[in-house]
Amino acid sequence: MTTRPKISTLYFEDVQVGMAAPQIEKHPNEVELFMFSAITWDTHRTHWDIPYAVQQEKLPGMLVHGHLQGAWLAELMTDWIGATGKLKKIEYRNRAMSIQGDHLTVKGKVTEKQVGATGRGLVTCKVWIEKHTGEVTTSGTTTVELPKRGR
Amino acid sequence: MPEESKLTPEVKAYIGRKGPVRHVEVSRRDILRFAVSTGDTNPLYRDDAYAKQTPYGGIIAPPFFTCALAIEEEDIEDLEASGLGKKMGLRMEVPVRGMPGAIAVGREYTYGEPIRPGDVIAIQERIANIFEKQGRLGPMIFIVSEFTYTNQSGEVVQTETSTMIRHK
Repeated sequence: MTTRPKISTLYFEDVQVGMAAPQIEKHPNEVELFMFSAITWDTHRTHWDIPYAVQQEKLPGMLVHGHLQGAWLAELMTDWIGATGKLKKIEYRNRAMSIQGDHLTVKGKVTEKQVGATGRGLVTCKVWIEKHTGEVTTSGTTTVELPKRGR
Repeated sequence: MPEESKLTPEVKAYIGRKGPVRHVEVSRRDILRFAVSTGDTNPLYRDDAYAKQTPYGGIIAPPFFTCALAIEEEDIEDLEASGLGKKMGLRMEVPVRGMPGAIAVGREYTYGEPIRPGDVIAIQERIANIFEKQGRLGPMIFIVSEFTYTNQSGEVVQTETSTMIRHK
C-alpha cells in the first residue's frame, strides 16, 4: 500500500475559471468491483458475476457501479483541494455503461468562482469520466470551498 | 392520443411521506475498506498522525461513504435471482400501476459535518416530489427522494437527493 502525502493547500486565489483539476486514471478490475460490491452490500449480480451479466443480462461484462464512478469524481476533487479544502456538494449522473478492464480518466474543469457568505472561496467545477474512446460514462458538477490567502 | 395520467391521488399522497429511520454504526475498518475499494489512498481516511494535523483533527470518511450504509441487509433466501434485494425503500412502494420499469437518473449530495469512526448515523428517506412527464414510451413518473444522514449529536452529515423514473 502506498500512501501519497497530501499536505499542500490549494488557495482560492490560485484557481482560475477554465483551469483543469489534475486528472486521475482508473482501471477497474474484477477484484475492485467485488470489493466495492462487498463494502456497499450491493448484491446485484451484474457487478460481480460475469456469466450472469453476459448471459442473462446480455451485458458486455461486469458493470462498474454508478456509485463507484461518483466516488471517483469526488476523489478527483479531494485530491486536488487537499485537507484544507472542503467538498460541499456534488451532483452527477451515469450516462453510459462501463465494464471491468475499461481505461477511464477522471477529469474536471473550473466553471465559476465566487466568495461565499462565510468569506471563504467557493469554486464550481464540471467533472466527468471518459473512456479511452472519449465516450463519457459519468458527468456532474461539484462545489468546493477553499481557504483564502492571509486568513 | 396521450395515455391516461398515472399521477393518481393515491400516488400523489406519497409526497412528503417519510420512511422509517435506520441506525448504522460506522467503524474505522469500514472507512478503510471503502477507501481501499475505490482505490483512494488519501491518508485522511486511514492515517491518524496525518489526519490529526489537518483541520478535521482526525480520520474522517470519504465523501461517498454513505453508499456503504445505504443498503439494508436481507437474508439470502429473500433476494431475487439477480441478487437484488426487495427492500428498495419508500420510493419503490409508491403504487404506480402498470409501470414495472425503474431507472435511477441522477444524484446530488450536500455535505455537512464529516462522518467519523464511531459515529452512529440515522438514515431516513422522505419523498420530496412526484411528477409526471410524457416520454417516447408514454407517461413516466418521476419520484424525487431526499435521504438525510444525521449523526448521534443530531448534526446532518449529508443529504442526498435522488430521482427515479418509473415507466412501462
